[in-house]
Amino acid sequence: MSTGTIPKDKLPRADCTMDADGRLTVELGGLREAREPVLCLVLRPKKGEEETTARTVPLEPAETAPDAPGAPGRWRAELPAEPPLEEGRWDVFVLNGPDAARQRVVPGLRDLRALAPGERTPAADPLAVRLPYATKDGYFAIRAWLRPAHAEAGDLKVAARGLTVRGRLLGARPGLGGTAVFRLRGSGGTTVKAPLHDEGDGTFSFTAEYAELPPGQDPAKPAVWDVFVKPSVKSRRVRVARLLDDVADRKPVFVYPATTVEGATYRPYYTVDNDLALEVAAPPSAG
Amino acid sequence: MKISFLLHNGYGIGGTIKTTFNLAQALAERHEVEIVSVHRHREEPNFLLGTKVRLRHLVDLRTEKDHPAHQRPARVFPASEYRYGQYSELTDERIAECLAGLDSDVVVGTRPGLNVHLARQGPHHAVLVGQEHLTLDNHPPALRGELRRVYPRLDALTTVTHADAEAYRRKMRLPGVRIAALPNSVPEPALPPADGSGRIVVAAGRLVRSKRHDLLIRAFAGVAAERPDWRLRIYGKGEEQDRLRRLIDDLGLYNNVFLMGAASPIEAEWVKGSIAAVTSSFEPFGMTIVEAMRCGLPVVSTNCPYGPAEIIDDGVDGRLVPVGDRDALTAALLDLIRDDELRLRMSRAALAGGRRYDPVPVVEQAEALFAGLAEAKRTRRGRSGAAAGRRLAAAVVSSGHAVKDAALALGVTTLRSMRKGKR
Repeated sequence: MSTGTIPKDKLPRADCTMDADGRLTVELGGLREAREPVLCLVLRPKKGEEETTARTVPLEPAETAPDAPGAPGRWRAELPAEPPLEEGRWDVFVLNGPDAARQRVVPGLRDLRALAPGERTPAADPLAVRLPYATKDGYFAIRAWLRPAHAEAGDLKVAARGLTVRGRLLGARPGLGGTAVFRLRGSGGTTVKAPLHDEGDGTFSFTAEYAELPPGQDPAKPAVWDVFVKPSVKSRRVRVARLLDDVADRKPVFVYPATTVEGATYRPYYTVDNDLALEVAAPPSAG
Repeated sequence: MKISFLLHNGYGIGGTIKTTFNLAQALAERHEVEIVSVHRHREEPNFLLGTKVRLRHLVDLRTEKDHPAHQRPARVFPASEYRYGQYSELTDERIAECLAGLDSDVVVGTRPGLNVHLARQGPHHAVLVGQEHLTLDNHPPALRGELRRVYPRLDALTTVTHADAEAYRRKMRLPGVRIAALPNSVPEPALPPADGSGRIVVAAGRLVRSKRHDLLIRAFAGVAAERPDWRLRIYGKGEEQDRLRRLIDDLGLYNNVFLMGAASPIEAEWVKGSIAAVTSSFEPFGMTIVEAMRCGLPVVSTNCPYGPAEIIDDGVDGRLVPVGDRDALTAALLDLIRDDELRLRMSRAALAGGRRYDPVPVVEQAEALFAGLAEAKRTRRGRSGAAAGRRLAAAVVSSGHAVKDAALALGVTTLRSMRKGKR
């Protein structure tokens, strides 16, 4: 892709709107010489790997017609909810015609106000979330999450002895013997459990007792406990994350204070995928 | 007309850059407009400029940061200017060269130091307009002294508020210089206004001390205590980030107050809220106030000099509270949070009140000013001897203000030049 050399103000610009029902419409401006333009979403591959997954959506002329014949026009498309996008980051391109070269798209106005309260309850069979955002290098892209069930974290309460999480379940119901499960990352399966409290209406709470979550041995390499809930004895583990508002990159925004217990430092945080985790750093070794 | 703007850095973020872009774009509908950015530090400007305005730079910091002439102190750009440290012999040379080569009808400076360049080196055929985006009263005395010496050579000086224009008329003797208030303009947002239902208070601005986000966070503690379902989002980045982060943690407000980082375009963020907050101790204009109003948000603002009181009609389309008064701020926010009807009424009034800052009326003012001066310049050409005489007379008049500033400045300039020498 050599589109990086085109100045951004010459690239097509995408305005988008997400409504309360999760309908996502994209309107493109500044598209020159388009005949039958299509929007192309490409799942960003891991570093060094090839692209394998792409979706195309035909664009239609937007109601606001260009001022003059031949002027760059506006085109729109509603991105179909089905089939759901696979989880990951989807870079957005536009092709002027079926066999034209693709060019990147820069972000315009992203009207995500319907998401800002963080209170919507989308269908969760599975849960499919799409969130348009601007990449670090300034292009338009869409983050997607696709999960069989979901535990949406709400307020966190950081206290001296532990972290209390309130949340709500989507695509799963709290039942008998529900637990919160903390899994030590990179350990091959070390888990710690805590009781899950049914707070009614599909909501839950649990407390991570810091004393039960040991730090790693090396102070320079903190232990990371990923957080799940198991709504009942029989159900599968569900990742605790926060996916239902308008914040695409939660890690630097939803920040929580650290707590020190017997020298070890506990800090809840959201991962780059907006999943909840707990970082535990061992006390600095004496001397 | 051909109009050139001289800007500190068109690639950065800030009210002056944004309003210069807005004005330039609006003027470009009927005129040839360029923005000359003294500095450039990145590939793309942060704000959208469109294709009608030409943007060029004089010093590219990505490749010329270590240029020998950039290590030597500036001589034309005044030492008493806030950004003196970012100017150098290199910028002196490049700006002088640029000004000498301009064939524009109007040249507009956008900060005091650049206005000094303009006054001293601006092309004689062009209308020279100095824009003041800060305020006279807040300038250090040495800077006021410098401006007093050279500003008489400008054709016009624009301020962003009437209050500041009045200060210039009262405290500076600038005979023959048109002094006019030209507010910042904010175009109508391209998305529908906020509907007043969001439970989010929004603030936006660089995270620097003068914006007093710390005060806002403390005030919000009182809001969250009564209405834990309300959130405060602060957009922007800056050197205060870590301190504000700690304050949020110390007050236990991490579920209610969020440092969102920089966002552009900001309109999409305003409309998520239903109240905007401005807590500055100093706001020469208050661009964010107008932006928020244009998105249908009533603004709760400190009544700091000078902008807020000229923009907000207290109790009608927003609220003005005393500077630094946390409790008054909490109370004003809660008044609007508790009363949906009041909030919606103020929201509609804010939308209406914001319209007077639309680029159309503002650009008409600018256009009329520029065109009038250009016409006057044409008819006056050849009678420049008289003008010079008048300016000389102005220079020897020493008002009380000038003497006071000179005395105050003496200490300050010595200090500053010592600092520069040490680097």
